[in-house]
Amino acid sequence: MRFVRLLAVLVVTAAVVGLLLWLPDSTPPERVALDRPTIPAVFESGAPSATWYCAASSFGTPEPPAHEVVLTNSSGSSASARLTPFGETAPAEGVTVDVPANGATTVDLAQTFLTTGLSIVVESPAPGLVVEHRLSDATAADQVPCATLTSDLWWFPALNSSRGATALLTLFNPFPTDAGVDVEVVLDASARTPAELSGIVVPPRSIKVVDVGAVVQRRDVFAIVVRSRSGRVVAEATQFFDGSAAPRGLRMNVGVAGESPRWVFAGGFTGEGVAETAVVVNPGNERVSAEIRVTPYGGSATAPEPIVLDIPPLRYGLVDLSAEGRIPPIGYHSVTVETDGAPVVASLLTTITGPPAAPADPAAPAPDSSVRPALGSGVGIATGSPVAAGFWIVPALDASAVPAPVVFVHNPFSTPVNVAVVPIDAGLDPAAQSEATTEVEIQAHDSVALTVPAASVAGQLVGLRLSAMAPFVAERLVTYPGQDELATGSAVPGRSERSGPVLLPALRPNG
Amino acid sequence: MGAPPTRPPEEAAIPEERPNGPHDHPFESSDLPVDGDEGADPDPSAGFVWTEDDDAEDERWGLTTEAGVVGTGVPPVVAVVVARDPGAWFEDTLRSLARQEYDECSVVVVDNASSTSIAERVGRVLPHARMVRRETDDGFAAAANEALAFVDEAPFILLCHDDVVLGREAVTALVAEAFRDNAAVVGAKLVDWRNPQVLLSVGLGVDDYGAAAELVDPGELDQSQHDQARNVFAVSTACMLLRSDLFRSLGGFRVDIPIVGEEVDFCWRTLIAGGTVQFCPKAVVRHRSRFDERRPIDRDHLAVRHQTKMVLANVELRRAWYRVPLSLTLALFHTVASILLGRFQRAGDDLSALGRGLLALPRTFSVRRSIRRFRRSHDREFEPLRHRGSYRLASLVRTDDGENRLAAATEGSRSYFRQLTSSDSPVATALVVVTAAILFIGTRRLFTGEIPVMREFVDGAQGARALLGEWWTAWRAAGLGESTVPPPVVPGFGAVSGVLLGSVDLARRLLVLSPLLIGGLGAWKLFSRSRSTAARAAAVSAYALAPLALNALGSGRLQALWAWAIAPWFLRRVAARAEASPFTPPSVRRSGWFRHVAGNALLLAVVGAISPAGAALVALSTILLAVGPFLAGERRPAVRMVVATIGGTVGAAAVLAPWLAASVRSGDLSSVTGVWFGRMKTPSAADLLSGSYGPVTYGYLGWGLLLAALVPLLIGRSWRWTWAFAGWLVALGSWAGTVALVERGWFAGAGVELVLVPAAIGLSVAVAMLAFAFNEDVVGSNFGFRQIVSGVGLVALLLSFVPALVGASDGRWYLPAGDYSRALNLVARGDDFATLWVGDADVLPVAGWELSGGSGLAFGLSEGFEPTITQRYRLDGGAPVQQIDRALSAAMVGGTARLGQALAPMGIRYVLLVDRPAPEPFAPLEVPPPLGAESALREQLDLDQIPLAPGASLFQVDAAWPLRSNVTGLELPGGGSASLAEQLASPAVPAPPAVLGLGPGTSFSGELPAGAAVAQAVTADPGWELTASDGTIAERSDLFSWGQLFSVGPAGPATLEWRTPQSSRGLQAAQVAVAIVLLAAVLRRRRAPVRRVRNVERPVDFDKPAPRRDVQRVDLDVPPENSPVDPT
Repeated sequence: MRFVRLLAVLVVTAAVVGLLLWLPDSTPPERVALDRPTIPAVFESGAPSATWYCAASSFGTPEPPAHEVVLTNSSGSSASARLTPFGETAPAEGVTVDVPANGATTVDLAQTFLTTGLSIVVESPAPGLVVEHRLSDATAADQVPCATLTSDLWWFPALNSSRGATALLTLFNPFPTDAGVDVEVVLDASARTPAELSGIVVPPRSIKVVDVGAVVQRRDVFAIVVRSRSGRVVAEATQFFDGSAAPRGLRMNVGVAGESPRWVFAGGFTGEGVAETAVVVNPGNERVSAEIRVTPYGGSATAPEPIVLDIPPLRYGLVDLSAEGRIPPIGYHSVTVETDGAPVVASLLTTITGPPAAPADPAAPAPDSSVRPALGSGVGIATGSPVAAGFWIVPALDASAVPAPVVFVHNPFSTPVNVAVVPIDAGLDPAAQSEATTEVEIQAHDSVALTVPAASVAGQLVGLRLSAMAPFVAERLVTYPGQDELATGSAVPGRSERSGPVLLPALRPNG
Repeated sequence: MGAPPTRPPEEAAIPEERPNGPHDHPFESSDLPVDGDEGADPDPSAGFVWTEDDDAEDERWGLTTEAGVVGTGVPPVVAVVVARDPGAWFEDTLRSLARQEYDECSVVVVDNASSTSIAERVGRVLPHARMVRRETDDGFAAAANEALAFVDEAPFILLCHDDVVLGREAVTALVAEAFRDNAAVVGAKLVDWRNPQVLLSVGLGVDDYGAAAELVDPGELDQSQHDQARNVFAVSTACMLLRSDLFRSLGGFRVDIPIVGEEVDFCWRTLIAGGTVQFCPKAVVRHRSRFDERRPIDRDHLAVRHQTKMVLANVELRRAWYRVPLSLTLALFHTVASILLGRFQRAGDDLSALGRGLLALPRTFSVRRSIRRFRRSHDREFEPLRHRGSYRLASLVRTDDGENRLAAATEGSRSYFRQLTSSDSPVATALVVVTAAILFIGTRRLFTGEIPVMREFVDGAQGARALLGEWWTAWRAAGLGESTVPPPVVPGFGAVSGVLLGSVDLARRLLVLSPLLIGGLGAWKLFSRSRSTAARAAAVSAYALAPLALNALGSGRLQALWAWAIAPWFLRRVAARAEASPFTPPSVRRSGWFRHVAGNALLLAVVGAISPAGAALVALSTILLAVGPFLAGERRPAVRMVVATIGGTVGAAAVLAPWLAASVRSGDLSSVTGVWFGRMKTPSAADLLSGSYGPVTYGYLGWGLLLAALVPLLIGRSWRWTWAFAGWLVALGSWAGTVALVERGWFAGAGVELVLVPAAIGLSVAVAMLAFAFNEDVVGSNFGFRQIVSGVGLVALLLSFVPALVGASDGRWYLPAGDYSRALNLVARGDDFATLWVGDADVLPVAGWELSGGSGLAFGLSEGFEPTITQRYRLDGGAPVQQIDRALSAAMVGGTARLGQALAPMGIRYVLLVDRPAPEPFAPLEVPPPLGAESALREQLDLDQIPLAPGASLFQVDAAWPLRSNVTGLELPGGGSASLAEQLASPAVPAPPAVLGLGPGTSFSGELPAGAAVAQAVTADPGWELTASDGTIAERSDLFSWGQLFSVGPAGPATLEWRTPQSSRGLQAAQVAVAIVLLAAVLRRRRAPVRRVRNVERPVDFDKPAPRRDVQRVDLDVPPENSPVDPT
């Protein structure tokens, strides 16, 4: 009995100890994050509908610009979309448009709704529909994907209020209740909320355009953050440069709805007549050290040393990449901004002030898109991408422009990726589309630049669908027929029912 | 039919001498029988006591002895003796009748279906008596009604039991009293058979509620204190003189009150008819009065039942309006008090009486009509005869020996307490008192304070009717409704609410708080048969003050509470019946196996009604505990425990079959277990073992309980050791299961508390074994290791109660003092809309379906803002839930900005995102929603956010549809829309007008225009029918792939109704049948060796004599053929 008693006590004690070792710690509630990218993204399938918010409708010129909405349907069946306009007063009746299968449709809002100054909500049961909007006048144009979400926080890391530039902020409230908004201005040495930009009330289902440049005057670079006290808005900034102090041009900039410790710009370029500046905003309360890595196309193995930027709390830092000697003076490159984990917001500003340098050897071929866009002027702003995705949609473009639009594809990871490039061209039947499909291999940490193919039917818009088995990042550069104007920005990452874009993990060039 | 003289003339002589004084008794003690000599009665007709006053009165009525009262000229009396298997004393009874000095007394013996004929015995003593033989025993009342056949023979009938001995002058005195007072009923003074100095009855006191009590105390000596004739409310039928005409007018006794209370009812009706009931002290009758030995009936049970009948039938209408409700209230109070005092059989009697009273209402009305015909006096006229107050309430504190005086009862209680406190273990006694005090103090603010609607502490919907209706219609208000018989707790809650006069709040309070009392009492009674106060104290304190119950109460875990409450009762029942030591002393009489298993099944069904998983855990832990007796060498008890538990489980499963079947058919594991996946804080194994997993944190002190439970493993011997080992086995298994579930996040809903119930009972048993071991194995041995370890165990046990003591200061065990309803009631009220609750499964007050997409969120629906008990139990929810899942999942990841458009047709007007079970400041943040969840809802274009309390984000859906709406003008596509995408692609429409009422339910009526299309926001089911005024049934079609649309033809009134499927009816019938069989088995009285009295429920017309039954008349002078009586 004594042995049994001892054995029992030992067994019980051992069992208790075993339990303690099995689950040694108490763990707090796990707080997961929903799969919600902060940049415009598109569902390939699985979502019941798609909603896009196109906010900006002007850029400060006396004459209202042309405002077009470009709807790109990459699916094999036609899609309908309902466009609901919102002005400074109550919304007008919407219209429904059809988008052909594997094609695109452009809607001129002024013609459709017989008025200007409208923001648009596009809703469609086709989740794969991508919506961009374009503002243009005779001398300037830009187009960006519309927003796919509303937010109570929007970052604009790089605005300009220097001479000859306007900086308009369009606040679009599509909801049935008021939105109260504060606009905080972040400068290189201070941050403040000007009284004029505090407590802005955006009535329900309407827009309000705020001239930020009139409040923050003569600043080459400043950042703003739009915070909602109540309600949610879509914020978009437009900047028009009249050419008096800089190249004439237009920058459209949908705000960034969230911060990230990593941003990738798939395509940038330097060269004669090109000024490229990376701006990084530190929204936090602690100093951030950001590493800016520039990787020339085809040169990932010999990438230059990264540039380290030390940014105080609630300040921005900038790097003139075109002035950095370690960066090759000509050619495309990708730019990666990465911190040690602290979230930041980054933008890449590009200004073209002259045509590419003529080759020293007259017999040499003229500069082409593999080096830099053959434009003589233009301004562009890219927000970059905090995510990588298995497929991307490049919204439809006019591929007849000269120079041709370019798509940049970057592989941020350490294994090569094969990207299938499928044209979105309504004129192609499935067989032709299959023939037109190409595949591009991208080495680790390397990038390629793809020229958008010509449309099968003259004047038709052409988009691209890029897909791969592994995630990658895509960006596109737009040029406009007859205009010396540049538009840069991210393509639209795709999401499938099973997986969406992945937030970029820590990126190491040779890791 | 003339009756021959019953005795020779020479025996009719008047006694020559009277007793010498008032205290001289007619029965000399030397002549009295002793035990075992009951038949050897001396001269039973010894002298009687007369008083001078009586003489004067008799003289006035010409009844003086000198006037020759006895003899020719006196009114005839027929003595009717009701006999059934009488013992040896019967001859004494007959002889006392034969020796009556009264001249005109004939005797009729009614043989009430004796097993052996008594005719021969009667013939030997009273050869001229007449015999009436009844073939069936329908009770005393029916047998006594045989006297109706003789009412024409004599003006008086003398009813006698077969165990009385009348004094020689008894009949004379009774008749004289009847004349003197013009009484309709006269009762004799009943004295003890063996000791005539002891009074048994001098009449009955009856209170307003029909409860009767003797006017003498048990054992009260006859000191002439009752020697005054007087009016009383009732007298015993042991010896009762009746006026024949009145007996006929009243129709005799009520045969549906066959025994116990029949005399009260008859006398009551006599008073109603204008008669009087008189007690005659001169008629002294010895009464053996050991009825319970002869016929084992439950007097209390029958008394309560018959009191209800009497009150319902006899109370005058002008008083019935308050007397009957008062009586019901009293019965309820008595029931509750009985439960609280642990007298469950009495409570069961009350409920049974109420139920039977309700079922017998038609017959009661018939009886009332009969009474109305002969009513001659109002109730107020005999009000002075009533007893003030309530005998039943006084009986609550009555001691077991039958004392019925409050003072005596108080004394009994006092002596019990003295006994308790003077026990050999004052520490144990103090422990019990402290435990009770801590529980009471710690719960004090919950007795009247708010019990929030949170987690499993659900609301009771719109009341008893709605809850009972869900069971009856088999249409549950879960999700958007589903065709299922709800779990039994739903109608159970409704029934309790109904019994409590519709007080849902009180029923809910009982549902939440009573487990604490039940569980505590259960632990106290667990080892009650062991006679060890120390063990009982250890068990109750270790069980009641352990973390489980207090944390379950503080965090809203109802399933765990009920499983915890029933577990000790179940273990006690099973172990005791299995005759396992120390649960059963050898002398306890045991019930039959079927009855036992039926009781087990009902106990488990009570738990299973609330928590099927809890019932399974209780059963499983009991089976595991059978290891205790098994290892102790008690193999048969161990096997019996297992078999009884399995049998009970099967029976309980049969009661719960409809819900279990539905859960298996269209639910998932969570539907049956009530345990869901959640993302809440996971406790460590140390937390689980030491009890630091809830608001009452035990910390290191919680290990004291484990330490105490470990001690009997070190010092115990024999069954003390094996039971402790079994307790540990159960506890370890429980902890291992809990850790496994916690590791995977599967402990939302029921919480860890439910899975830890076996651990609680296991530890409690082990701790009790510590006390047993101390008494049996330590005390008396030399000082050493055992004593030291015992001391350490005791100290550790006491220290483990300190956290409970600290927690008690809160007064509500940290249960939040408010819930979301406070804030939500400011937004909207009513139930004509639905609310979509979104949050972690562990903080929702409704059963949640996990949202697709891996966000960890869950969602559930409630009618209005008030989650109800039905919505705490879910199946798969059908197509609407899938639709909500799709829409909400899409909204969460930005897949739609029109969530409201998907929800509006479902009648969902609000979406509520919560991150804690109750809002601030009542509850801290428990499970934050995933990042972006609130943003996802805020960016919906058709949801408007409404500011609410911290911890909750409320959104109003634009243009939410009514629950039933006329969608004629909305131009919906055929069948609504095939997919969610199509629905969302349609332009937003305004809310259509409501039709057929606003609220939820299963039957709606109203006017409809011609050609109307009626949309109904419920799960599509062909059981719904919309019937137009001309009887045509509207065509039903699908709407949005989940709802339904009715196309109405002509204008006019229409009814939309749910038709319960036959399959559900079958399940309900089976469920009720099984429950009735189990209940009947449990409530069935233990079968006596002799046939039991049948409670005859036949209508009686009191204006007519009772119908003659199949009787056999035997004239003893002329024996019939084949008569067993030898005429010689």
